[in-house]
Amino acid sequence: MSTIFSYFHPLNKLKREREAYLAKYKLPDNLKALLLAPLPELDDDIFSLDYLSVDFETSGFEPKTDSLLSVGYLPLIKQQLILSQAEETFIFCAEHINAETAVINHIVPEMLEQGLPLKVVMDELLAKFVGKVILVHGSIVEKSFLNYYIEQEYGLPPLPLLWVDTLQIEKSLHMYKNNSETADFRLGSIRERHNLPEYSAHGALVDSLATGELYLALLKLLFEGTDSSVRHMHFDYTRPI
Amino acid sequence: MSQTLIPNIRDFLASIDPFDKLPKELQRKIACCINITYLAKGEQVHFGGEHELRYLYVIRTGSMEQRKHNGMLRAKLGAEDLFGFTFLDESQTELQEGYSATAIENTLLYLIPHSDLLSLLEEYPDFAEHFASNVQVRLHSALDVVWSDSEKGVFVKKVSEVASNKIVVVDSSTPIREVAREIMDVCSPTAVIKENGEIIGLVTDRDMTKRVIVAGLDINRPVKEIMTPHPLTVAPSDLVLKASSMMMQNNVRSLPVVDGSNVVGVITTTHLVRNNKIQAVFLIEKIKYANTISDLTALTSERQAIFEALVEGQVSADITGHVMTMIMDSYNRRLLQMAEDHFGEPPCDYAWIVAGSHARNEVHMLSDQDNAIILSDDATTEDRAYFRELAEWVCNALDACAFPLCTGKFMAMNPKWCMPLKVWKASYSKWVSNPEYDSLLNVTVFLETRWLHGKESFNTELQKHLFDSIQKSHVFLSSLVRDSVSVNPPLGIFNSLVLEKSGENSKTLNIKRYAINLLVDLARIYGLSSGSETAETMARYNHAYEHKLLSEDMLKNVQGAFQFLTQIRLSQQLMALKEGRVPDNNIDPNSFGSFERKHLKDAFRIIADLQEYTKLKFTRE
Repeated sequence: MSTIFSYFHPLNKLKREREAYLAKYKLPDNLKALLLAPLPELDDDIFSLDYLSVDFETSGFEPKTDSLLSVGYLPLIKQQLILSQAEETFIFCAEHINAETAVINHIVPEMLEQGLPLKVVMDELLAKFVGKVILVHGSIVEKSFLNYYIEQEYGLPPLPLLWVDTLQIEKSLHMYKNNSETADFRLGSIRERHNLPEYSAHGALVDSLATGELYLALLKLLFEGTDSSVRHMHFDYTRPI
Repeated sequence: MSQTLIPNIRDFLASIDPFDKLPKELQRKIACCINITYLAKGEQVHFGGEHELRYLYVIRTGSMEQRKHNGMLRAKLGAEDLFGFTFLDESQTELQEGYSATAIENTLLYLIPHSDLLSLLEEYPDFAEHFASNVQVRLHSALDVVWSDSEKGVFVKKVSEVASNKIVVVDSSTPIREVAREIMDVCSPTAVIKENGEIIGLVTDRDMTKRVIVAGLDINRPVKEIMTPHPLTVAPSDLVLKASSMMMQNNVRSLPVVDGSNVVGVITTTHLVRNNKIQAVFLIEKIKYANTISDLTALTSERQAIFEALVEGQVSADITGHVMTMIMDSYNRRLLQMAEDHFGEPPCDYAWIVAGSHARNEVHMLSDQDNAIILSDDATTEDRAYFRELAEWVCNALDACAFPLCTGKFMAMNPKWCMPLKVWKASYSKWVSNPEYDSLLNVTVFLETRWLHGKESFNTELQKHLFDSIQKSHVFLSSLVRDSVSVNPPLGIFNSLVLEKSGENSKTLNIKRYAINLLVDLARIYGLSSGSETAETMARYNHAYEHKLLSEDMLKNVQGAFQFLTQIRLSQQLMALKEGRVPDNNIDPNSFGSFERKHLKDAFRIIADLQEYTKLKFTRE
């Protein structure tokens, strides 16, 4: 019985999708390494997984017309966020971003003029993904910009990757309380509810740290003192269409 | 780490002790090596074993408690509190393992890897002591930061810091002419005359003019014939204030600085004038020449100004205590002189003694009077009436000068404390041999006395009697110990409350009752058991250390804690005075920053440890 359930578990489905993806496409080495790295097993302890907490700052929601401005990330290893391995990179942008974006993101054109090319930044990020679960708050932006990059740069459909989204987890907590419509789901507000400190400055890296801390708190809330095996975790996925 | 993350983490670090003492660059580097973790309520910190990384922990949000392995609460820690210092010293790891740390709320915890911090501190060695594993080193560095030496006025310096080492020392048989030449050569105003290695007299350049040239004396005569015998001297460790006060009182312009029988230098009025205006000395002079009580009461605000200058000028608490004591002494002496003028010559010998904090040279703005009279044994009933009147006059006058009457009535105006020497001795014998709980509490104030006026030998004799009685008594010291350990220091300041050992909280910290007095009481036990002549708390601990009753480590811990606590008390008094409030000993924990909270916890722990140690030491047999 449990084998059957395990077979249909989304995580095992992702495994099969990876095998298929690897068989179907001729991949460059970096993508091959990413998809060959083992995924967690259903019986693993959720607390033992390694994550990369990531945040993108963009000029809008549409990767075709909007730009990726900066990428921030840091690893979460053995339940510790490692600040010494935190990175934040601005992406070189020839076109001018509009003033409104600059205000929202605290990114001014001068930062972007000194930024790195998109390919350098994204391939570095893909390398950091190897062996890790991707941790984000509200995965839509990160997923769509990543998928768009994979398509533009490598001519490939979305990579079968394992994600975890603190926004979804938080929302699922509120489902039980029937207030998911009215609750405030901004990162800062959620953190406040979990008694996490307020971060005054904003940016891709601060937000990825804020997400990482929130995830640690949520994990304890969900799994402390209960069965914390990976099979009970609601992950998020990108899948080739 | 990127630019945007640094401000958030670094700003937090920069707001808490001891990181706030570090240069920005080092704060940034430390921020960069932090790991962040989250503990659910009830979760324990896993202190790494040998092979794992060890950390200094900073609580970002939430709260934790430390317990010893026997379950006893060691500390409660809130946001901005640190723990895990002992990891920084390999030799201290056993101590560290002596407690566990558990989250009592969900807690976001910053972990600074031991190895990173150590290598950063190697780059910045000047800041290493802020992270010392040793409580005492940490307390000491705390004192240094708050009260820097540079801002101290000259009068609170030690004589050794300002004295000149140019002094002529000659044998008593040296011809006058030779001494004069040496004085010229060395540019010293004074020559010290020795005979058989002992200092027996002094000659100044003025004496040469007055006693030799004007008197037409043969310059080949031995210098002994023109010297001033029994010269006044000061020790290198005396305060400049004391030296200058002595010079003014005795109308001399220089004092040899003497360490035992070694002449090490000379201090002259020039040294003082060159350095500073000596407010306190001027006040003492004014007190000396005051003619009426209202002259004296008019000086109260000046006294308060000096107190404020001392505390604000970041002068150490024991020196502030000394200066305030000297001023109180001057008031008291002057009032006694006035009283003797007013009531006529005393009919018999007597000694006016002071007790309690006044005797310990630990006077502050809240000090009330503790004093007593020892009468000659042949004092008659009429004599005693005279002294009762005199005492009442003096005590009330002191009260008018803002040295409040003692609420416990430990004053010479109370007939109980104005007794002939033999009655005093009998009382001491009784207290020491029957130290019942209540009567002991009543007399601890008289377990330290200091002579102030009149016949000094009365007090000396009485003290000797006290020491002798204690030596003979088997029960006295252990009763004193039982009494003093019956009150425990709090565990720390947690949120806005004072956390008591019982787990109860109170809204204010009575720093006198729950901290300073405990150390004073313990010092008394050590001072009395080792026969220390001085009653000063710091000196009593020193004396105990010299007599091997305390280890060097304990000595430094205890003295550091005492200094820190008395500084806090004085600063709180200053704050109250400045806000126009009447200072008291109850402190609102909200007035403490993270710096004070952390070090108070250290100080409380030191007191608790010393209480334990003392209990074992004195009550075992």
